[in-house]
Amino acid sequence: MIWDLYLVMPLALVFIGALFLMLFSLVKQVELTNYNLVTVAFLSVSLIIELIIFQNVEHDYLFETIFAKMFIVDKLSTLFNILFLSGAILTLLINNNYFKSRDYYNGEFFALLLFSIFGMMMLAHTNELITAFISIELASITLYVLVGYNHHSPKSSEAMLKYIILGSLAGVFFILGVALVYGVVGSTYLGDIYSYLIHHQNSDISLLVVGMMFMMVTLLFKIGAAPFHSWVVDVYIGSPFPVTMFMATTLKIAIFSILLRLFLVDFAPIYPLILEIIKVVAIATLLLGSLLAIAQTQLKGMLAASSIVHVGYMLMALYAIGVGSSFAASAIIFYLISYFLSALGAFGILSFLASDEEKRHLSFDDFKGFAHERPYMAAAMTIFMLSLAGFPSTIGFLGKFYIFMSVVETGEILLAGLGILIAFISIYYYFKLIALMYFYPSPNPKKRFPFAISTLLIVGVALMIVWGGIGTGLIPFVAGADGLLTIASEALKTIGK
Amino acid sequence: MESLVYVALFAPLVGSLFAALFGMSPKNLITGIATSALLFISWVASVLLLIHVVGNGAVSTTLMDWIGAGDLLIQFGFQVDAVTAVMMVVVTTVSTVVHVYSIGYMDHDKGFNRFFSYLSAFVFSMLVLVMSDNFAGLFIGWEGVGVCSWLLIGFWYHKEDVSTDINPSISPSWAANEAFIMNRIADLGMLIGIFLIYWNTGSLTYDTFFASIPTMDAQLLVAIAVALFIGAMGKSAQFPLHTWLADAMEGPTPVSALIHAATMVTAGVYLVIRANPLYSHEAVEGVSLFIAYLGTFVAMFAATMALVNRDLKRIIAYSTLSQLGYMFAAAGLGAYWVALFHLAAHAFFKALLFLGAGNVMHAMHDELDIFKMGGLSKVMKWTYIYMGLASLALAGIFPLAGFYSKDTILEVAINEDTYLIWFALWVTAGLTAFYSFRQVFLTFSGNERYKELGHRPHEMPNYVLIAMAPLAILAVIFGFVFMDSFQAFTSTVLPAYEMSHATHEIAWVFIILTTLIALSGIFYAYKKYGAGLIRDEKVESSFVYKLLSNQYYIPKFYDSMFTKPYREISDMLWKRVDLKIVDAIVDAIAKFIYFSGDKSRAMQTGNLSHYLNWMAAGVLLVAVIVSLSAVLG
Repeated sequence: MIWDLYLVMPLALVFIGALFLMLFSLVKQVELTNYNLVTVAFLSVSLIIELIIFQNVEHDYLFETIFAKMFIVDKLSTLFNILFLSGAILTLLINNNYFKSRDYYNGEFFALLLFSIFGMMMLAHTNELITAFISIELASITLYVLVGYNHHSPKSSEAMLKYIILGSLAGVFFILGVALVYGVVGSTYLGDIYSYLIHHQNSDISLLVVGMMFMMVTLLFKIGAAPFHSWVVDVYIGSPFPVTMFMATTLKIAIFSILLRLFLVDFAPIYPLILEIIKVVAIATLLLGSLLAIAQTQLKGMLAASSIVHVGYMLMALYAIGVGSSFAASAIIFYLISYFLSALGAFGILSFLASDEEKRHLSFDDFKGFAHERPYMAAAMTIFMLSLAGFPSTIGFLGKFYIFMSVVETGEILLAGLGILIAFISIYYYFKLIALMYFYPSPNPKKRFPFAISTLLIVGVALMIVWGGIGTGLIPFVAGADGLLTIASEALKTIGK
Repeated sequence: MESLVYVALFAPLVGSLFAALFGMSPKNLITGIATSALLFISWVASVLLLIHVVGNGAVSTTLMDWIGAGDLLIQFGFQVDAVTAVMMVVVTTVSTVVHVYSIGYMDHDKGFNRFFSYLSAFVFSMLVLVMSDNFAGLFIGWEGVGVCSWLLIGFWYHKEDVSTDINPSISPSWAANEAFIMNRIADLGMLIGIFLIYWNTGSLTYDTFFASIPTMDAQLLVAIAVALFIGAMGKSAQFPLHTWLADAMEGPTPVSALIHAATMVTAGVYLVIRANPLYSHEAVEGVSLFIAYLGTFVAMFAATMALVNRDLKRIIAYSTLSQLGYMFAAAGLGAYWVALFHLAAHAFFKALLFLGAGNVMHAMHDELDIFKMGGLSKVMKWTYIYMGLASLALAGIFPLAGFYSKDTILEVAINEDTYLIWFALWVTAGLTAFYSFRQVFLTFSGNERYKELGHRPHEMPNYVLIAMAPLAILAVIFGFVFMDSFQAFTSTVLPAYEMSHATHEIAWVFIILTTLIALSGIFYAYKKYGAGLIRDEKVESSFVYKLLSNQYYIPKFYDSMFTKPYREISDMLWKRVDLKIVDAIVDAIAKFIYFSGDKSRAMQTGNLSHYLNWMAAGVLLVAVIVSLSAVLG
């Protein structure tokens, strides 16, 4: 019981924090920064406990006597929780200036964000489909609200409406799929589905496959894979910067946590039936995402569209898992981390600029001569772009490298070749920004580097990206790229069947 | 002892990084003092190491595993044996002096801090080069000194191209590029040699390679020996890759003293000495003999160009080239310790000579034409003494350092029965004496021609002159104090080269002959230039004079044979191939992608019901594929 309490602490802390902030937000005199700091404090304590749990946990169920095997605690779930929490902390701190610069933020914003993280953390722990559905919806519904948080902006409200309608439709597919699965298997536990499939290899399982496909559709929608990607650009552009940042990084990782669990455990027996879909979806996502990204004129749009492309790479690796690659799963986790850092930094700079200069829509043209105006920020932005493009000596390069390696390992040379081609195309839209920043004169005079928590964190993230790309093993006891990959594969080992 | 190795190696690096911190800021004396102090520490460590190696033998240590991939394991390993210890002491001695000297010399330069950063970085690279226990480390140092040399030759990169009647138009940046590119050509040879070694022994450490030499194929050994020597030719500016050295004089004079006289250019000689088990192997006898003949040729060839040159620094540069030829001649004949001894002795007196030239330049406001000087001994007494001493040593007059080292080389030539080499080197000794003193007399005695130009020369500050003293002392005493112990010490690593009995018997005859020709060279120079400059139109318009002053037209030949055709080919490829074919294809691809991106944006209508349609289509697609794979699979 004590052990269970210890394991549930991080979750509980986030939940209590959400409730506390909900009540706290009724006090009108509190400054916004203080809400932010309280939220970060809750998240940080939770993060520290998760880090300790990661060292000790192997394979446990939360309060097994009450919830049976609904919530699993293993290294994989803990690793994902660590990512959510650090993602949320970084998002909140980097956007500190932005919150202050807009009048529509209040205490409830932070409460909603915590609820969303609570949903994601539940999702990482889930071992059962109904729980998974509830977690996804919990994370999503709060996000619907957050997307429309800027109530002055019709665009924001429009984005919210689109997101709600499309998201609900996608959610319907999930619950429908669960119903079908339950109809066949008679249970919604992940392990039970797996053993049913193993024991009924010769019987007709088409209903089950259809059910699982419907679940897949929802998950593909949530990560923004083609052809369910149409919402991504509109919603990302419409949302306030902190929310976009949160969705692009943290939410994406959350959906991958359940996707990986489902794919590695339950879908294993029916790989031959579903691999074609994954492949087609991966290719379509890569191509359509790239084409969308090229056509964007706003930076937020470009980052949104390019996030679709990054999902395509991870789907490639997902396909590789099915074909039998040994380290594709670790490669996905590594890629998630690398993308998470790079996108966080890039969105961070945008939000910093938006808060600083009263610009709502940052287009490419706004970045002309940026390097002469703010050399350090431009350097950081360059690092983020290089990492997103997968340039050597950044963590993004290693992420792509591991993914392509895992695809090549399975013998799918053409698919890997397509991935590399797409990576080349991506250089166009990422380097366009770098070129604009450096090769144009600046209309404004040079500005001093503003020492604030947001800017220092942005620089820190940039350094981490370079560190992850080249720092391997140079300093003892600090995990470089190799270390991250080891952590990922360690976490995957504890996944139960 | 390991800590001493690291202190000696890393002190210059620390100094360089420290000075680099101030790179963008205005002159700060602290950078000069700190780097000099750190170099002094490095020098102390080197001397202590030398003493240790004399007493207890070689020290070796491994810093870390550098590259481990598959079967390849390259360690950052260092070994300090007799040869390395000697090189370290030579390098750090000259470097320390040059650092202190530069504080005075670079006093008014706005790149003061940057200069010291580069200079210390150079010393660090040079130490890596000589201390490494494997070819990979050697190559890193090799390239490191190359880069630092490039940075330092082009230190005054803002200077425009200057056109003179003697030289093709060159500027510091042009000279820096020339030096770098010439060395790249040679480095290719070096790399091939290193790869050959790795492929055939599976390791890059010296010990493994030397141990496997007896079992290796003769032709392979020849290939390795040739490839490595090509590398050495570039770095030591041997014919036909010699043109960069004279042009490298565009760099600041302390740089010329340190890099282009005492240390970097001797790296090629060091390589041959270090690889002596290879070059003394009987299978590569031909290569070694070729090295000896090439060295002899360069010695004479460079000396002839020095005879007529008017540029103070270029004369010394040619004499460096000539002395490097001597070293290669000795090494090629198998007398490795003699080559190393001449290397060390030469480092001291040549650095001194260069620093003296620096004093003159400083006094004459960067005027280098010795025809415009004369009579400077009155105002620059100490510089006169230093340069005179250094020139005496260079000419090989008893009992200065050059006498011992050069005479031994000539003795080796006799001992090996290679009389042609002896004769050529003997004649060169005379030429050396002549051009050294032609320069000294034209600069320091006779009529004061500089007055017409309105210069007011002045001596350098005292601390600069005191800093040069160690070099002067070494140039004088190095031969008769250290020669015997040097031979005994280096024989722990290098093959002991002994003169035959017969050579020993008649050596005195040749010593007298050599001294005679050197003295007559000096005497002739005195007769011709002692009283002042008398120009002879007839001589200066003669074919030989023009040939020599135009460096045998080799720079012009390179320009018209390599540089211009290369440029034309590049132009052609750029205009015809790159612009018309490559760019066109790239543009077409880009246009296609952009076009399709534009078209597919039409999907992104922003209309919610369209999005819903897309989603339904997606679900349908998934269903179709599942049922298809269920039916077919």
